[in-house]
Amino acid sequence: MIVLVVTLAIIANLMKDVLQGRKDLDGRDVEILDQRFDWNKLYQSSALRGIVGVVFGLVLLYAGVQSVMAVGLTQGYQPTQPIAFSHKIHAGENQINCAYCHTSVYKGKSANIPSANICMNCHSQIKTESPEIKKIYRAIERKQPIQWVRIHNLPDLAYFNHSQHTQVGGIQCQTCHGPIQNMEVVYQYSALTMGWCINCHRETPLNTKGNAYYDNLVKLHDKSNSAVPFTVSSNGGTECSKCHY
Amino acid sequence: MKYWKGIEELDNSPEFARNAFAEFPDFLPVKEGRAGSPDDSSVAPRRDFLKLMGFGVAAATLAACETPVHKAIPYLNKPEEVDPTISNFYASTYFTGSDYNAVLVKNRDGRPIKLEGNPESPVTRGGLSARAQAAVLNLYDGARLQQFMIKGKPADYAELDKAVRAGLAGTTGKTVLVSPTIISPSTKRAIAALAGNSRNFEHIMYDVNSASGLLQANGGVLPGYDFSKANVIVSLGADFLGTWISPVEYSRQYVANRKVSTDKRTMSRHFQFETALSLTGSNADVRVPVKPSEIGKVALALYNGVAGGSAVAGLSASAQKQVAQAVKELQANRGAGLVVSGSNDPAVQTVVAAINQSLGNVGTTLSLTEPSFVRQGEDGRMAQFVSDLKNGAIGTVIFYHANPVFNHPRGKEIEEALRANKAAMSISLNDRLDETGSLCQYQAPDHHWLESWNDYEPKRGSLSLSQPAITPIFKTRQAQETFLRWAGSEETYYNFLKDGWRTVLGTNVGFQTAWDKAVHDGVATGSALTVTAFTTQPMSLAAATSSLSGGSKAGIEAVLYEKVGIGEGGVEANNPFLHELPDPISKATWGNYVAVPRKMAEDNKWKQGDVIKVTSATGASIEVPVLVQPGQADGTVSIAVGYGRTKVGKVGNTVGANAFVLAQSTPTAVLYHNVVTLQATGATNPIAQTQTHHTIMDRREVVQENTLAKYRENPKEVTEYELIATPDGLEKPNKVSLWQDYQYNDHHWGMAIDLNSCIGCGSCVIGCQTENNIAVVGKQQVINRREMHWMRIDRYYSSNHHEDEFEKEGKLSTYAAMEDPADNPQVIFQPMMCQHCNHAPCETVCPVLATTHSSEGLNQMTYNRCVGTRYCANNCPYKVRRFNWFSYYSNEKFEDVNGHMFTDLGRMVLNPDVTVRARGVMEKCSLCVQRIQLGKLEAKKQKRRPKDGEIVTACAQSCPTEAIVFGDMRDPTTRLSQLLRREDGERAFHVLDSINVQPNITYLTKIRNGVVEFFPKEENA
Repeated sequence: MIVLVVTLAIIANLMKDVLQGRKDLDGRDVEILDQRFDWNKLYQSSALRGIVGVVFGLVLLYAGVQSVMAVGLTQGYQPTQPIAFSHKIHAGENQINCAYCHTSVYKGKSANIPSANICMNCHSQIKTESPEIKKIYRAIERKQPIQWVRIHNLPDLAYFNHSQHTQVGGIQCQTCHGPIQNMEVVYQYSALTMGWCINCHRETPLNTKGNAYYDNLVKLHDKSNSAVPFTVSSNGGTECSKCHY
Repeated sequence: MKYWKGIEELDNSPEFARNAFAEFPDFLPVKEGRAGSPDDSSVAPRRDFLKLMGFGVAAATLAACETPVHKAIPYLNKPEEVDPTISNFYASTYFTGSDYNAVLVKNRDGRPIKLEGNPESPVTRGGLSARAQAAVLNLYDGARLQQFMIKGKPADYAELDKAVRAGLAGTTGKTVLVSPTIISPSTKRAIAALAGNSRNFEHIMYDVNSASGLLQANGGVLPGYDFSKANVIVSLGADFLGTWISPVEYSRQYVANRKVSTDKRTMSRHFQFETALSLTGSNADVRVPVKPSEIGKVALALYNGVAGGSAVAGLSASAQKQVAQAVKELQANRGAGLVVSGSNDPAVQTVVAAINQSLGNVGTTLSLTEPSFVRQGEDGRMAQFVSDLKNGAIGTVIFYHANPVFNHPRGKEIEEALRANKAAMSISLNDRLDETGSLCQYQAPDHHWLESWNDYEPKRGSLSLSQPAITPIFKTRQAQETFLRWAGSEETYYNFLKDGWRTVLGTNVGFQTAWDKAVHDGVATGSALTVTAFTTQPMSLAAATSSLSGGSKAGIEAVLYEKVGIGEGGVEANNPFLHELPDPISKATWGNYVAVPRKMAEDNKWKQGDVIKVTSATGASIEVPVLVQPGQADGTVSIAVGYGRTKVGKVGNTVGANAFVLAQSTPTAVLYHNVVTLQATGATNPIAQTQTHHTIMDRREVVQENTLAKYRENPKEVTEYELIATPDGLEKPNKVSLWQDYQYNDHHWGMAIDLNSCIGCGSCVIGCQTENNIAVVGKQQVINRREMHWMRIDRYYSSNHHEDEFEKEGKLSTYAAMEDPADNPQVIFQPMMCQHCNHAPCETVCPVLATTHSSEGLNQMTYNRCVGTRYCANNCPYKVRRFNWFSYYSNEKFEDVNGHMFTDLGRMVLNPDVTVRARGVMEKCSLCVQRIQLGKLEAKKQKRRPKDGEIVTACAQSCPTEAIVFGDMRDPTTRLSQLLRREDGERAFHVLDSINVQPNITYLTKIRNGVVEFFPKEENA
């Protein structure tokens, strides 16, 4: 595009020079040839000023809305942790089950950052010389717990329970946490916005199989509305009080 | 019948009428003006607005710059049973010298956040008093003493132990340990160990709400009562549902014989002779106001009636009539009646004991072989202690949770003696530098009971344990361990306690298992306490009779009583939940007052809030505001004790005045009544009452009651139902509706509240407050009608008891008397919270859909969507929505009263599952949606439907009388569904049924067993 414009400008200039060299042109052509582009006039034209103003305003508004919507959003947040723990090595290469360390992920609201004694199950034997692992030993000796930097921060006004999604819903960890088994350093994969939550609740069918809690509900749903899937939201999963109380 | 909430409504004063219909009255300032400044306008000026807006923009910009870094700090070595965010429950025991409750401690992330009743306990059976509900807040009380101290300087354990041991060996004179009643067998053994190591050791127990007279009359034994077996209950001033001896236990028993259904159309009859309108009196079928000096005469008249003696002079006609009726019914129910008295006069108690004896009630409704241990104090010995201390006969005095400087009538003398160092060594084990502790040389603060091991025996045969639910917060030490150290033992109290239990559980191989079970359950059967020898000899009946038959006293008699919330004013006095819990009767919060009958106020031209100087016969005086109290006996006043603390902490200091000084202290008894003179001081001090707040409803459709006679005749006629005229004839309001009904596929949560079982104790109010992080707002905001309680207990007065006087008094004068019904009204309590209407008026007016209906029947409130228009509250017919006028958790104006939301220490008590609400949003009862969600989740995880009773709201759970039943109305097998089916068309009604908002909360009509009927004995098999 730029090349084209520049090429055209060069051609136009060359043409102009050639044409100015010729004396056989009539008055009208000379007038066109001698035309000067009046920047001043353009600058003073109210139409242009208006257009530029509106465009500028819109750009500003867009940027403003974008930045306001991003307040508190930390998608991609990847802080440096006090110990360079690699999920890639543990979860990816060594295939350790997530719940081995995150013990309460199927039981409780929080998935539980592992305590140092869980690290010691293996690291009392494995890689004991690594400087990173020595940090754990030091923490235990000094009785100073390790202060990890929290990555996923839901606002306090939203109630989220891991076990509802893992144990009951049967959702994979990666659905929300991304390819955690490939992460050398963990980052926040999902937006964790309300829109993101609601969207999933609208689209995901309930994991009702083999759960006697849902038996009658599935029957009622199939009787009245079997054409559409029995999603989380069709069971009230997008109501306010399911997450906000 | 006419119902009213307060005197101002009964009078319908112009001021009341003007404000009655405005939920957010515009006469209240939005903004507190600076005191005395002329610029007291309630309108925010433009400059303020611009300033705020500028600040807001700047703050938003700043906030957007950087997200704060949050830390996630796991355990180093995680205990196996503790998982973050999962609550564990540990059995424990709450006992503060006056109120025993077996509890379950809800522990979240290593800290206790709520107490619940322990259903395993045979004594309290899962009930929990309001005081016990609020007790968890005391654990995080910043006013607790945080380390050992010697003469005002911090000291470590060893330093203090050394000094005390040297002192115990060195001082001459008696060594005296002063404590309230101790019901812990192991604590008594620890004290015995200390006694063995000290010179002339004496352990003096005294009770602030003493039952010394009762003990004396029964030979040192506190009878165990069983109100559930009594068909006729006569109480002479004993507030056994509110404060007397073991209210939670008695409430459960009392209501067991008061619940009615189609199959059981009988209930006990309850006579109450009392001075102040108490919680118990307000539940009575027959209540007779009498002066404190007449209580003895009523007892005598009852005795003479029962045992066949002459009439007693000096009683009013109405009292005599009711005494005769009571005698008749007691005699008809020999062995199934019960007479109790709250008086601490040994003469009264001797006569009462004789009445029960001659009626054959001993062994049925009251037991001397299964006595209660919760009162053991002997007033005579305490009086002796005060004299000894003044005489310098005491070398070492140890105060163990005892604060006699504040709560003994002779506190001033003790204070002076301690100031003058009459005892060579004075030690306090109290948890704070209170009125007594601050005068002692040594302070060795005890752990909070939630940090301690201990055992308890409230009643012979019923043991319970407490166990630590948190690591000690401060550098305190368990008192029993302190005793052991001073006795020269290095044993831990845990081992000491466990060893002691070998005698209870048996020393054989099964001990460890039995011990583990006892710790797990929190309760066990067995006995380890013996009755403490009572030194004061019992009175003979003749001596008692002659002491009671003297002439009545001249002058105004004052009676001192305990409040259901503050009680004796121990650590409770620094508990903002209890200060803001409205008194069940007067609905007053924050401070005490002198309750006077209306006639006295009119005669003296006193208005509510006028400050009165109350002077006792001995010259002690206090200044308190006046409250006009319907039901207060003529010529008497009543004042609550437990207020007027000076050294309890930021919350309770200088709230109210100390009424203990007005009590009489005789050498053998402390009497909680006295003759006083009253004098207006000219000052005023408004009383923060919630009574007429949120009182917009018309009563007729709100509370319903009927008589037992009517109920026995036809249960279908006791409740009035509103019907709507339609082309097809009269129909129930819900047959005519503009709205489409919701379809509930999964659950339909609902609640039933039995007005016949509700005694108005307020336990649910506090249970709700701790569960849902409800802010405390303080006195001024209560006056401004901005209290935040999601649940309130409406108390309505009513009266129709003049009708039976037509024949005797003549119609005209009876009608005239009915014009003035405030003198002895009947009382009805109605717990009121969000009714979770299926056609909710609030939902339709919210402009931002912050309040919506859920597929499970809940009316949901979404705080982060609310913009604070308050339309919903204006449109709510039940007035149950609360608006956050301030940031109660960060506005320094509320730092004192709402301290638990300000400091890191205090915030440990907050329920992490419930949002702390911000300024400018509406809030209300959520039907404990966090508990519903958790219960459903647990069921889903186990792949089953929730079981009935598994999910309960905080209020239903805390109710000592099971008046509140919560459950799933869609499941026909639940207790709630069965109850509603059974009571449909009989007692079940909805409040304001005719407006057809279709609440999910159903009430059951109250049934009174008034005097016109009689309880036939044969029907009570």
